[in-house]
Amino acid sequence: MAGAKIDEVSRVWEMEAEKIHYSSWLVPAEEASEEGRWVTHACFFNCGGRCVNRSYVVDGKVLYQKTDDLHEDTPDYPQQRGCARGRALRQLIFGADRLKYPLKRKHWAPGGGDKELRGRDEWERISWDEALDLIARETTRIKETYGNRAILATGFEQRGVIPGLYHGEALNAYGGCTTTWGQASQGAVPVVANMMKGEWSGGRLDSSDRFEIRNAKLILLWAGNPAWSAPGNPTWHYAQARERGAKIVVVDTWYSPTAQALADEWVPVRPGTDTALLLGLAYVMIREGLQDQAFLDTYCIGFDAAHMPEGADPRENFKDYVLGTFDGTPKTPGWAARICGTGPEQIESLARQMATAKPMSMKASFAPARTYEGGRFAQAFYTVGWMTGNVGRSGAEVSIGTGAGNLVFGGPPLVYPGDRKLVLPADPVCELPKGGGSLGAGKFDPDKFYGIAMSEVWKAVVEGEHTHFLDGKRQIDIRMIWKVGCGARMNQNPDFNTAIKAFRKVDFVVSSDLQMTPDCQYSDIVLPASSFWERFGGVLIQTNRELMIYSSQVVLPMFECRHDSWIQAELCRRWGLDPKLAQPLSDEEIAFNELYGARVIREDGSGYDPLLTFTEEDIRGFGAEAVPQKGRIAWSEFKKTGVYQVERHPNDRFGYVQDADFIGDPAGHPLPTKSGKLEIYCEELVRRYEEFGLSKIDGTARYVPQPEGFEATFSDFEKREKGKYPFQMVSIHHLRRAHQGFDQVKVLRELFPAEALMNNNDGRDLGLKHGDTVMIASRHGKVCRRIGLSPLVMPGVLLLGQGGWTRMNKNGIDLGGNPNVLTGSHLCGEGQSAWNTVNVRVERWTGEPLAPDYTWSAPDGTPKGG
Amino acid sequence: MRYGFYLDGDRCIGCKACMMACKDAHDLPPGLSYRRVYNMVTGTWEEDDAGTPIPVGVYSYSVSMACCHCKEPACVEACPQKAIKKEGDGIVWIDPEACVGCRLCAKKCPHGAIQSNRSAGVSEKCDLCRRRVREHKEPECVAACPMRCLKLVDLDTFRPPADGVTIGYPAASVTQPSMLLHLNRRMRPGEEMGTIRIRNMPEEI
Repeated sequence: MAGAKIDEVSRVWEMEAEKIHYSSWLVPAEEASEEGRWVTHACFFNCGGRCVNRSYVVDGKVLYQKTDDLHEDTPDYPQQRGCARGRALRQLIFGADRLKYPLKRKHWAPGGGDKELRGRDEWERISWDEALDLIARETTRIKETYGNRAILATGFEQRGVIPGLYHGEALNAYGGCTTTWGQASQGAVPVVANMMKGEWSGGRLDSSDRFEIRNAKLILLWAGNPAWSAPGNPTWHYAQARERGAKIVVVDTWYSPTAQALADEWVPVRPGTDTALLLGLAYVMIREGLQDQAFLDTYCIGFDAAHMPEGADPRENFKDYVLGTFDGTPKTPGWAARICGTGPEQIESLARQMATAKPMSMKASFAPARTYEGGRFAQAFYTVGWMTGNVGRSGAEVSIGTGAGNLVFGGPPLVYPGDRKLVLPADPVCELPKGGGSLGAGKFDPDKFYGIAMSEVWKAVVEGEHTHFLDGKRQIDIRMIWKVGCGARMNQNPDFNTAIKAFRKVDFVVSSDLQMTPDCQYSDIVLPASSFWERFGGVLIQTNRELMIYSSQVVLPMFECRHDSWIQAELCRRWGLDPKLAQPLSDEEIAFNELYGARVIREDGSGYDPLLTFTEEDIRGFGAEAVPQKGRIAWSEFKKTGVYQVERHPNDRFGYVQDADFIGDPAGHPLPTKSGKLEIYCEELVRRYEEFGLSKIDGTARYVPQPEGFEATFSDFEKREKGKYPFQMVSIHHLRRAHQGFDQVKVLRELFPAEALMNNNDGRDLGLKHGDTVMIASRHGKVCRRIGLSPLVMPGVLLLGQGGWTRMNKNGIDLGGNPNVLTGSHLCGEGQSAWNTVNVRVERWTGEPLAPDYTWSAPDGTPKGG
Repeated sequence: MRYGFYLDGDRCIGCKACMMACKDAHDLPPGLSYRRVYNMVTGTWEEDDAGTPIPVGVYSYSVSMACCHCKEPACVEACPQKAIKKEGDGIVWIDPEACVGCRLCAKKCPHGAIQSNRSAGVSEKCDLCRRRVREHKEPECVAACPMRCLKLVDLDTFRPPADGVTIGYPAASVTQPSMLLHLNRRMRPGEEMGTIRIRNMPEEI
């Protein structure tokens, strides 16, 4: 690398291909010089983690990147190494497919124009003034004609243009909008967790510190694949535990890369049938008397008839359900195997290991809860975990949602940024999307309007009615879809084909993004947003408790790309509102607040001190007003690297064991559940589900077949005759991308072909060869994709990575491999999206075989079909 | 002192961070990679009496490979321009000024390590990041590895872990590659999987 000439190095091949000259659009950076400089930035997409990335910048161009090399690398105090995606950021930022200037769909006119052409129209370049004027006028027309409720703002999918969740500040200042509610990532876990164990922090405090797994004798990773969903350090941390003698068992529907590196034993289980497997495990433990009865008697309610809450039917207890005392069906390993596909002998052996290896750390991902009956999985998982008594002790853990990102491990932050002090206007029409927040905590207020459930949103737009809790069906007339800032709900919600109908129904669709994402392709006006690399720095949401990364600006904004909050402020101006409402603070002011207010834990763990020393001069440098402060390190020192990592060692004072207080003193530290205990039988949960008014749940964990679940792959389940859609599909988190982020980066497409994967025997039975092009069809849509055949996948299962950018051909078949073309809108549980509950069939593709998609041209306007 | 790569094949997750780091550092376009990651799978499925699918020997492993900087590199011998150098520390590199892109080296390399950069009209391959290594920095691929399973080692002094099996890799043939592979816990020496043949090379250990 050294010695290479700048113009050789800035060989951004896509741009060469499109004959766009690099220097003609890139404004030289202020600090340009012959000497390069390393700039630290966190990778800004939402895989769930946040690794250290650094870019070598010369003359405003990024020549190459690296990951963390800021200190010696040890298992206790590791470098925060990133993955291939983070290392490909410069190819995304400088990609020829970046949106370069505002675009208008050719046949759009106020009122909609030819709406059917959305997604296949031509694009016209327009000026920012024209774009903003059109958006302001059409939004006003819709607001005045139909009311603010007719505007649907789709947020909730952080894609790195605005950090944090969707705000909709300009719309909120202008009278508000309809938003969506429900669970995406976390599936049906939050409500169940909040009700059964009294708390849910999105994973952070629901699991123990990373050093704790080193004390475990057995680690059970349930449907967790950190090697792909958190491909920085987490899998390595598990390897530390394994090398210290822990046995690791991976339960999953495929022998995942995580199993490859970690598993001493792999337990296959069919998608969506985890509950049956867990019940089979419970049966063995009960039959052999292996459950930790003292723990159950002291810390739990509802396990057996003797420990049911007052007023509850004692017959509803968990133990009698498992034994089949009243329903006549004992949940034996044989019973479970018929459903979940795990061999009965392995169920027996796993149950004995789980019950006897102490301490055991038992961690599940959210994936099995992203199903129609996901809430029942969460119930069963907690219940069986608690039967082993592995709560509140070193090396012991029972947790869900700790398999993604750096949420693999828990504990309060050891270093964290200050409050941004950014107050944006609230939505006067609708409660903001709260996800795992207020609704997940069971704080439902029947007098409030929560908007539309995410999993129903496109159907609601098309049909003009939606389901609203106890109210049942309500009319809704959506006229406009707004995606300025975060959002990718068209591509990332289930049921893409209904999304197309919804997008083609409304009068107006506006979006901003970095690239021509599918949501943009179906819009009328598309605005080019600047990325984090092109903005004044800041601290992004940090899930790793040991680390704070201050991301500095890497390059100046490219083309005509603009900051989302500038867009929002400009719209306010056009609506006669104070632009300060949408942009109350500059990025510099926000960054100063984050840095000045940053706190770091004291050595003795007794509290927090300011992280950064700020002198008067430092403060003046930010143009801020504040009192100088003494912190752990000087700002001038910190800004050299932008990274502060708390040095850890196994005997430090920063450890955290989930629920240790409660286990130490259950009377003095009761859980915030109704009973103060862990509720295996949970009346509150049943009541919350009644409030949601969607699908039902029982007081204890039960197995219930799901619509489009395993049983639905058969035309006759008893005779085992397969039906029209004989396979189950799982939308896995693929290493190529973080949700839909990164999908179009050529080098990642080259590295990760992201074909659909199925069992090689299934493929053989269908007459397929590895690499053949197939059509995958469900009740909801069709996808064309190359198929990979592998014994690593259970028979009867198809894996397709989520986040592929839909590319519809003229026959309505997606060539981009988006599993959401195949998934359907199911309203269920706590409003989770049932991405992993879908049946498909696979057949040979009779058209032209698909070339590897890294060879495809990248759409920056009209999608090209096959 | 003889540099070589060591890969812990029991730990590698096949994530290609090494490959991406290499491509980024050397600005390699699609189709050109000095380092490649192979994912190998094996095993089959049977049904028990009740029709439950049972995996038999199902597992996978990944191997990350670049130039093996062989002790007796066939490419050096094959080059009519003497453009390929073997240094005293073991590094084998191609001098782009001297290379004419005739591809004779690529035909002789048993490991497929030598790539053709058609636009530059030269042959290219991993040079073990020799400039970095001489500044006592790890090669880009090693510094990027999230599993810390790819290492740069001095083959004269390196001792593999006591548990498990470490072999010279790939097959010794005539070139004596400077790469050690710690076998995946499920793998046995002599086992043949995928397109890569696993053989012991006692003289390398």
